[in-house]
Amino acid sequence: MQVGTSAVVRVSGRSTRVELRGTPGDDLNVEGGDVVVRDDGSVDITPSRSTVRITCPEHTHVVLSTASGNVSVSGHVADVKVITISGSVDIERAVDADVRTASGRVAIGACVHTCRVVTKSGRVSVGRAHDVGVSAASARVEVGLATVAAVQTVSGAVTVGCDAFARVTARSMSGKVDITLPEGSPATMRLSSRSGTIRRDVPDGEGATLEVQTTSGAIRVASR
Amino acid sequence: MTSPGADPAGAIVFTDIVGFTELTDLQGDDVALAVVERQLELVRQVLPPRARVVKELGDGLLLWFDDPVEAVDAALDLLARFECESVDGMPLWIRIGMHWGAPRRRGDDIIGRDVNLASRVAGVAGAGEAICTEQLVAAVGGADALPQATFESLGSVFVKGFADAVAVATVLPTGLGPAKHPADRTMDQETACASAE
Repeated sequence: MQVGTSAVVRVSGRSTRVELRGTPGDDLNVEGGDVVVRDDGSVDITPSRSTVRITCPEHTHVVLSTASGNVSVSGHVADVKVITISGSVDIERAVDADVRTASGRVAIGACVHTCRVVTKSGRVSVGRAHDVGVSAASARVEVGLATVAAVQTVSGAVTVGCDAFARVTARSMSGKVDITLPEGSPATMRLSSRSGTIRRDVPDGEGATLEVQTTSGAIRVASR
Repeated sequence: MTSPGADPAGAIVFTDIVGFTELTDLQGDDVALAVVERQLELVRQVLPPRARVVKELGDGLLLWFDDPVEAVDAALDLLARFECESVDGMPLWIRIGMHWGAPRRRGDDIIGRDVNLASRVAGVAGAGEAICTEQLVAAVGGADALPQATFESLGSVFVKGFADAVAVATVLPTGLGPAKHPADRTMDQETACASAE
């Protein structure tokens, strides 16, 4: 079947594994699920097998919900929203992503625009994104490269790679925070920790803006 | 919303201090107690006359609002106030879960499925975020009904103890923009707090 421009595709399955691929064209193909097209053109998919496989147009807006089922989004999609409890989430590339898990691991390759993740204990990795926001409890957070990043953790360690003119805010109670900049790039830094060590190996100056606060976690700003 | 003989419907709101256990471990019981007291103080400041604190739940609070719009306003106000709170330089974070339903009364307490659901929804929220069910969105008149708030659908969430997935939305103050995230607001936190003083 074909779906319209900016179609919304929703999948909801408790323990179902969801494998979705965004491809050029207008075709929507579903294996392992029952499809209902709503009056507004949106598509609801109810899984009928343990794995549902979906191929959808690149411009699709994807909304995926599972309890324990793993989610895999490959190819490219316009935006993707995922809520799961313990399922792992892998997204190759999206314009925007919003992912929420309790314990599920989250791995996002690239976001063209914004990438948002909320988790309790699921490890988070984001390869590359323009704008990253992560709120985590005990999860370790790794951001490969971002222009804007705002990361909050309670105890999870934070690693952020940023570009020369990035704006980064990182706050953690007991997690250590490690930020890297391109070699030789200066930064305006406001780094504070109640009891953690602070180490800065980049020059002060106009460039990136870094604001880091921890209670006991160590802070390190270095070149890469 | 209210079936014959049932208790009246209202907005059930849970608040929870993010990282309270770690905060207590790092800063000690006296600071933890002060934080809990401060949360209650801030909540009382934002509660309208027809709302109340039902009970304290450790580091969280259960609130009741007769009016769903007042619940949304109070939640956003509370999040904004908490952005300006800190302990030893570290910001304090709360999460909020909201649901519209008709729980049973037991004295001053409220009990039932709707209360359980509101509690579960709070667990979906990130630090500095308010999440609500679609029932609350409907109670305020729809996602576009309030000029002061934006409801951004997050899809459905499977929560413990409930057979079916529950449709939820994040509640943002209008003007922040749907692409914004609670974590983003920390960037401008000090500026916003300073201008509010």
